[in-house]
Amino acid sequence: MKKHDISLLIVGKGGQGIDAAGQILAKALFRSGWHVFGYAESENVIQGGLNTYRLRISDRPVSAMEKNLDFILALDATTAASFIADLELTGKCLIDTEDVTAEDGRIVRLPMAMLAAEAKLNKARNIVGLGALIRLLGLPLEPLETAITEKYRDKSSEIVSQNIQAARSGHLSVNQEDSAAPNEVLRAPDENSNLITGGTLGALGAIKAGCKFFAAYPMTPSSSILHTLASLADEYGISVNHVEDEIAAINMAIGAGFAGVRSMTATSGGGYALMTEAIGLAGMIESPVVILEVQRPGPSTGLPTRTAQGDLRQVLHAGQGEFPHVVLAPGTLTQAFEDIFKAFNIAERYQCPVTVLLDKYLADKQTDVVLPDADLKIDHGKLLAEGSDAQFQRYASGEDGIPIRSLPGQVKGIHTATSYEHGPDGQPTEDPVTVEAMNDRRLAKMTTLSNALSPISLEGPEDAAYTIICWGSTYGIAKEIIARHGSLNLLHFRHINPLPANTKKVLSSIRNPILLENNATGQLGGWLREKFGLQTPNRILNHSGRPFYVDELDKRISDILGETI
Amino acid sequence: MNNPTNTKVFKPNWCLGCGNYGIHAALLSALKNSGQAPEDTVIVGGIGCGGSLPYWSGTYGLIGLHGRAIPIATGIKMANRKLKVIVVAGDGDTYGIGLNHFIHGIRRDADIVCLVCDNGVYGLTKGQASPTSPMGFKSPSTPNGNRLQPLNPLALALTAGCGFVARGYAGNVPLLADLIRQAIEYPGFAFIDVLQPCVTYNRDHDYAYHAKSIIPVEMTLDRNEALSTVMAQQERTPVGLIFKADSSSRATQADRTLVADPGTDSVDITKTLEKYA
Repeated sequence: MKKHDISLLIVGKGGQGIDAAGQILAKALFRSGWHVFGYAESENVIQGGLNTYRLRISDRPVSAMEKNLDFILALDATTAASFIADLELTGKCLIDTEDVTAEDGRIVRLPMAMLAAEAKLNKARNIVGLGALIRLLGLPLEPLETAITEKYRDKSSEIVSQNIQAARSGHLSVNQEDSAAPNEVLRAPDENSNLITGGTLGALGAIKAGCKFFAAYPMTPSSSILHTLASLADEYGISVNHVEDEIAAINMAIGAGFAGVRSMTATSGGGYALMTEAIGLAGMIESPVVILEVQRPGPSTGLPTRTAQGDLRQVLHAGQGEFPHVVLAPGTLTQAFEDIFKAFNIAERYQCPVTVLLDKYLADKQTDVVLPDADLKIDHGKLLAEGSDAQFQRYASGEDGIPIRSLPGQVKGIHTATSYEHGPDGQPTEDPVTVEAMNDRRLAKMTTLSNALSPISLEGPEDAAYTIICWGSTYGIAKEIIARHGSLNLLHFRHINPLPANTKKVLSSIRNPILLENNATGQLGGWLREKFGLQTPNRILNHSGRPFYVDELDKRISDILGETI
Repeated sequence: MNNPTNTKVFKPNWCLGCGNYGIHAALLSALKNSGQAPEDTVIVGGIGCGGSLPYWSGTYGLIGLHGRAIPIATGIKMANRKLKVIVVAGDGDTYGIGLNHFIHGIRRDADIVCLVCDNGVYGLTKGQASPTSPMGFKSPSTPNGNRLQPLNPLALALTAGCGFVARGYAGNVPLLADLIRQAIEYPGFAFIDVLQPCVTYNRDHDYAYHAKSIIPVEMTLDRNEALSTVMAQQERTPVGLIFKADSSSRATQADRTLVADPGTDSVDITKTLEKYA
């Protein structure tokens, strides 16, 4: 038993309150001083499908999940069956008495339906289970009761007390001796710590950056961004718009950006495909816009409720023609917050579209986060100064290729922004010399930005024989893996277009790359091969719709390293 | 620079006799008559012959993507409610590829003017049938005659809930200028379908044809009556302000509009983060 590193699973059918139970338990354990990593998954049906909430708790920060489980809370025997194989020999599975048929010493019988009925709340089986689970963990019930109260206090005091009774009776129904649990509260909770999902933190990054206009069309798994911003729209004075389609969403965002308001849209791969023409428009008229792409597995409708990193190439090649388009891929919740904030500065400073690539895994996972007390400053880039007397040309080349932007309302800044090729004054032109000069100036912004980016660097032992190369959300998993092997270090790509200026140098220092991606074809590997000729014969690619699990991945890494675990 | 008073710069790429000259003249006259400052005006062009109008307007302009002028204009208006935002796009642009946005733009009811240069043909792609081309219309894409029923854009606008529905004619500049002025003053989505001869690709519907076919229409505050007017099978085409909602009875636009104000301080999110502590 890993006493201070425990993996739990709550499993059942859609409608049984799996996610709610997971949220409550995560909060209770977080408040008790544990580091927490929670992840809800469901089949793509509203009621009846297989729902899971995985929770890993530890005395050290956790940045990934394990497949092996120490505890299972099964609200439904059939859905639980496939997970019993992952249960440690010392593990315990809580299951309703009526559901149990097989004999297995790891199974703890708990009459959840009966106890819920006694608490006069039949659907509180999940809460009965949580009470029992807390007992098996040897932890006090009080933080769980607080979390239950917070979850249901908006409903009624009756519902709160019924749920608390359910938790208490569950707690009393099992013996703690059943498990070799941690049996202690680890430490005082960190006051500055928040238990939050990547999607929520991403939305907060946009709010922090002064985003005041948001338009989107619902698409799983990006809709949580729309919901979060809609719920906070009044408080922060944001115009949040659920519009007719993704094409309208991005065109409205571009219009708002042109008018001088920080604007964003969010979607998943299918919606992004519809947006691509407008991404080129933003590149052509040099208007700022931020797009969040929360990936799910494709092709086509694919797996709406699962995760993947399969859209990197779509994003890198979005839109016809050639234009500057910045692509960021944060790896952690904190990076998601920072990068979405930063995306608005880049979009205005470089006057171009910026796509931030998240995925279902990063957007929906929930961990304890202490946001850095970073000095996040808003930078609008070059705006026409009020009272300027100079003859204004919207698309004139500045010394760094970036023109001065004027906003409607400015007398001296009048111009037409056009998707047709145009000269420095914004009027259309087909003159070949001007056409090349305008293209070159726009594209040069990517070189300017590449030089301005923080250099990329290896993490872990500098002289390691093997280097994991990954991007975006697999960062946390890779970090846990390299901590287990002395011969392994890590190169994580957070800026994918443009790449930091030192990328070539760092890649040339790598001896044996191991490509790690949540897709079938190694899309980052292809991008690095195109840019730098990098060969990646060692590849660990997962396109199952599920994230990597550290323990599973560790076996595959050890095979490559020639180690036996 | 955009400057309509400088005739050297006013060099539209429209064919001689194109209806867009009349629409351009009427729009500039309406802007002037309504006292609209050029710097506070944004003309959003579609992609098509009429969509080029912003180049020669002397105002701010944005020429975006085919079909997407309405969402762009809506975004601009919502971002800065002080601006007057006018869409100028064609019938293919608005009733074909962009029809979705036309209907939902009306539902959203942002305070914008939507001028549709309706010549019943795709001019800039050389004369294919458009959503308002009549049955039987022969074109490069319909060599045996158009077999699709034409759309009735005014009926569509009325049933979608548009509060200002008018039809203008590019050959009658004073009437069109007055309609545009009223549309500018109307506080919501104001729609004008502008009959416009395409002298190159739709020669049946030339100035002589329109001069004979149009008749003035009486404005009504009754949506059903307006619908009967625009649905009636008649020889002549009613032109003028057809329907105007009693603006005092209209619901306030639900969406939040803003005033662009580029501040430099990042926003304090402490209160929201506390919910996750």
